[in-house]
Amino acid sequence: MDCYETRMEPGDRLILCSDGVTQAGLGQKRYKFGWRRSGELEFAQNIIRKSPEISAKDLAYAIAFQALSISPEKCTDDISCLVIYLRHPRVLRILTGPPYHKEHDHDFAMLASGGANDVIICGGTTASIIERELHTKVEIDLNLMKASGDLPPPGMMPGIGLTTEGILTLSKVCTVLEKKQQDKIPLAAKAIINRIMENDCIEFIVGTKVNEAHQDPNLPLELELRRNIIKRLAIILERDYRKKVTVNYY
Amino acid sequence: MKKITLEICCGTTCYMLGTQKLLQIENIMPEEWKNCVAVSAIPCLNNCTSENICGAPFVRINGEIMSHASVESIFNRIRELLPGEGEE
Repeated sequence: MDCYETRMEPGDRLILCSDGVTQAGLGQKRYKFGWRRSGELEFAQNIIRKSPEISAKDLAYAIAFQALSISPEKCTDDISCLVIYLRHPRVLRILTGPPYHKEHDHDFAMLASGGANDVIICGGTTASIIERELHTKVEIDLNLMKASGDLPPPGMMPGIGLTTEGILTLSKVCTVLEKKQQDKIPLAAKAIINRIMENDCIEFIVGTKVNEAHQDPNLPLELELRRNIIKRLAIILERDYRKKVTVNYY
Repeated sequence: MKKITLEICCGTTCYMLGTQKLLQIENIMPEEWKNCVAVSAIPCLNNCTSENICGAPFVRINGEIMSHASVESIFNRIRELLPGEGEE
């Protein structure tokens, strides 16, 4: 077994693959000697040129599937690809719940406008506070209702990010992550989970004002308290999904 | 003619008490209304408090809040607002 040592800088990628990748297409007119290292490298460089931020996972998939597609008829060798991408951590900020003191609304809303790679706003009241403070408007596409399952449809706040309903959606996200559920995930929960997976650090900004209407016994379901859901989420994200989680209360 | 605006609250309380059905209202609306009514969903109308939760679900029609909204009550209100219809 050979050992190699290399030094990587932020932005560098290390691509490892089985010889089924470099020898893909072997014997075909165009690939007399297979795809070879040079072909694979050129392919990877083209992809990175088109999407400079492509994730390690997506690049590995792209290479493996390209190798598969240039193989004659079916693949005859093991095709595996591993990509390591050295980059700065990506930060997702999730704002949920109205601040306890109304006079903090503006500072709270400002946290939606910068300082993270991506932002999600979970909660109707939370979204309307940010709409008011940042003079923007959420757009909800009603055509998405069909895929919305048993959750309200997600929306977009232009220039800010995704918006969803709060308690029901976050509870669903938590359950899906805890149960490692793969399908039949309502659209809004799926949208949050996809963004969580694309990022490394998850910052929860939790407004602690409780909507008393949520505690009304006339509601058909018992709603969990926001703080408890966030605690459950923080635990599961750190333990099972290797995310760095911070929680700040407002 | 200016379109009648119908805004549907997508907040937690309203959703649990019936908004889900209302969000499909455009699909069951009479065909001839579709050019006269603009339906949109908004994150929250901020109308539920501990005192009036029983008013949910809420919608807003031409700027006016309607509580206990149902497909029927929304249709009735739109009928009143459509020109000509009220005089019949």
